[in-house]
Amino acid sequence: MKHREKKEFQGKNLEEVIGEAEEYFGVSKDELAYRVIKGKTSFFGKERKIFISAWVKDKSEEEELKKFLEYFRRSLSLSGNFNLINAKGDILIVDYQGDDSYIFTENHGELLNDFQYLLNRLFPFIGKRIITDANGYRREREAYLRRLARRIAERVRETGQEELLFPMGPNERRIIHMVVNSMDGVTSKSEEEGYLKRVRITKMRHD
Amino acid sequence: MKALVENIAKSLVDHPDRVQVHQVEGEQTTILELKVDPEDLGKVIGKQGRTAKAMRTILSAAGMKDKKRYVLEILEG
Repeated sequence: MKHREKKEFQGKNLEEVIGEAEEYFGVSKDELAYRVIKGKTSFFGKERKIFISAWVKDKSEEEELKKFLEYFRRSLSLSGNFNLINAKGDILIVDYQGDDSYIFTENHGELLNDFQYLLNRLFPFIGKRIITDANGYRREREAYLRRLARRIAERVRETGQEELLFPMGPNERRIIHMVVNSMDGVTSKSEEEGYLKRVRITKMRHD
Repeated sequence: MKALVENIAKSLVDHPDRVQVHQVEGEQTTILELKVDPEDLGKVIGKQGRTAKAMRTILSAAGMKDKKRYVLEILEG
C-alpha cells in the first residue's frame, strides 16, 4: 500500500477517477481521501475533464494532530484546551476553549484562519477537513456576516448603488454569496486577486 | 518559539534534516531566521505566501502573550 503519497488523477467523471485511484493505491474508496482540483462541465454543458488529488487516509494522523495541539498549547502558554469534534461531511473541528481565546479571534479571527490553514497543510493524510474554532467564534461570525449581507443587499436594492464589502477569505465570502443569491433583484461577485477578496453587491437590471 | 518554528518547518518540507532556525535577539525584537533547502522554499512559503503568513501570525500571537515581538525571516540554505 502506498502511504503518504498524493497523486493526481483525471477522467470524465468523479466515479471514473476514484476508480482509478482505488486501483492505483490498491484500497477501496472508503480508505481514500481526495480533493477536486478542477473540472466538472464547461459553460456550454460540454463534457470536460475532472482532476482530483487522492491519497490514502492515515488513522495515526489524528494522534499526531493531538500531540501537535498539545505541543502548540504549551509553546504559547495557552491556559485552555483543544477539543476534537467530528462533524458530518468528513469534517474535524479543532475547538479551543479558554480564557485567552482572544489570541485566536483577534483581527477577525486571523490566527483561527491561519492556524486552520496550517493544520490542514501539516496533516493532509488525516482524510478530513480540519476546521478551527474558539469559544463559539465561527457561529457568531457567520450570524454577523449573514446580517451584514442582508442589510447591505437591501440597501443596494433600494438605492441602486452598488457596494463593496471589506476583504474576506473564501469561507466568509461563500456566506455572503449564499445570502445575496437567496434574495431577489441583487447579485454579488468577488473582486481582486489573492486569498482575501472583496465582494461587490449590485442591483440586477431588468431590461 | 525557535523550537515551534523548527518543528512546523520540518513537518512541511521534503528535507527536514536541512532545516535550521537561528535566533537573533534584539532589544525590541527577536528575529528567527529559518533556513531550508532551496527545493523546500516553496513549501514553507506556500501558495500566495499563506504558509509563511500563518507562521508569522502564530509568532505575533505568541508575542502578544509574552510581550515580545518576533520576526520571521526565511532564507535559502
